Amino acid sequence: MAMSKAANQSLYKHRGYRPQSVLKKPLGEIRLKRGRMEAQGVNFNLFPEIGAAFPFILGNIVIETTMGVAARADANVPDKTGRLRESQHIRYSTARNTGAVVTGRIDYNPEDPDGSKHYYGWYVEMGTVKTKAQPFLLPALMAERSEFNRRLRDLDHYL
Amino acid sequence: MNEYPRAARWLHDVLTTPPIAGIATVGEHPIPQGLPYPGITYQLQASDDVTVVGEARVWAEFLMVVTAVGQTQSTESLKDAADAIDTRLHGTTGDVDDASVISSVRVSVYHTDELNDGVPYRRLGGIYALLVQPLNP
Repeated sequence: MAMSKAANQSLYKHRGYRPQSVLKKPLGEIRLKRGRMEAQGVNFNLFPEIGAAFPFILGNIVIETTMGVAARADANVPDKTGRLRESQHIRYSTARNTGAVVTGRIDYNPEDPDGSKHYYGWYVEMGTVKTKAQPFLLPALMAERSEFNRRLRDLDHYL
Repeated sequence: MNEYPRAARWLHDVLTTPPIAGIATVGEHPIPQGLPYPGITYQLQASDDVTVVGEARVWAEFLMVVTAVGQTQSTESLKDAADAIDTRLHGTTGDVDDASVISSVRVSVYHTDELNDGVPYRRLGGIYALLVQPLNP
């Protein structure tokens, strides 16, 4: 399955990197030379290319999964004023050596116009000693889990 | 079958038989007004069904937050109750009515502190993953 365009752009727009499809690289050239077929530079060993692409492929999976969790949480979030839903903020952390995405994070911290933040998202999710929980993030995470496993299982589609 | 009432019933039975020393109330979160503290509460945080080919359901998985709740400023005072919760729930199994809890595992510790109407509260326990399936699937 191809990576979504939005995921690709969000990941690499700052770096100008476009992952090359490893399996579409030519294995070599076959030429007709002096009346006979001659194969040059035929290379069946693509493991170095696959190894180099691997962190970015996993990064794509992390991005798609994070966006999937965010979309599901968005549908579940209790909506009185809409402020909690609007405060959804997604960010990614990347590996220092490769620049590949390693983690995705979703925050819900509504902000007042004066910039002051409110951290009541946790109490909506988990409840308080007096109020019932209204979970929206953990159910999204659990529902996305099977999709995450499928993406890992079909990892070769990203090559 | 809806596995959640069975899961809740199993939790209640395991946490009350035998009674945990110092715990006055055991039930679904939150503790109703007027009932004494400290207590143990459980709440459903998330659930997921595992199905196979032909939509046959293998088991239902529940993420349950199980905590000792106290009107106190000291988390230390809830330590024994939280330890008892973990001993009774982590790595245990059991049957309840027409269902079976085939796995109960703590996935993380849970702790919060709150100030509600000027009264300090502490919650200490864990998030437990329960797998429940019918006795004769």
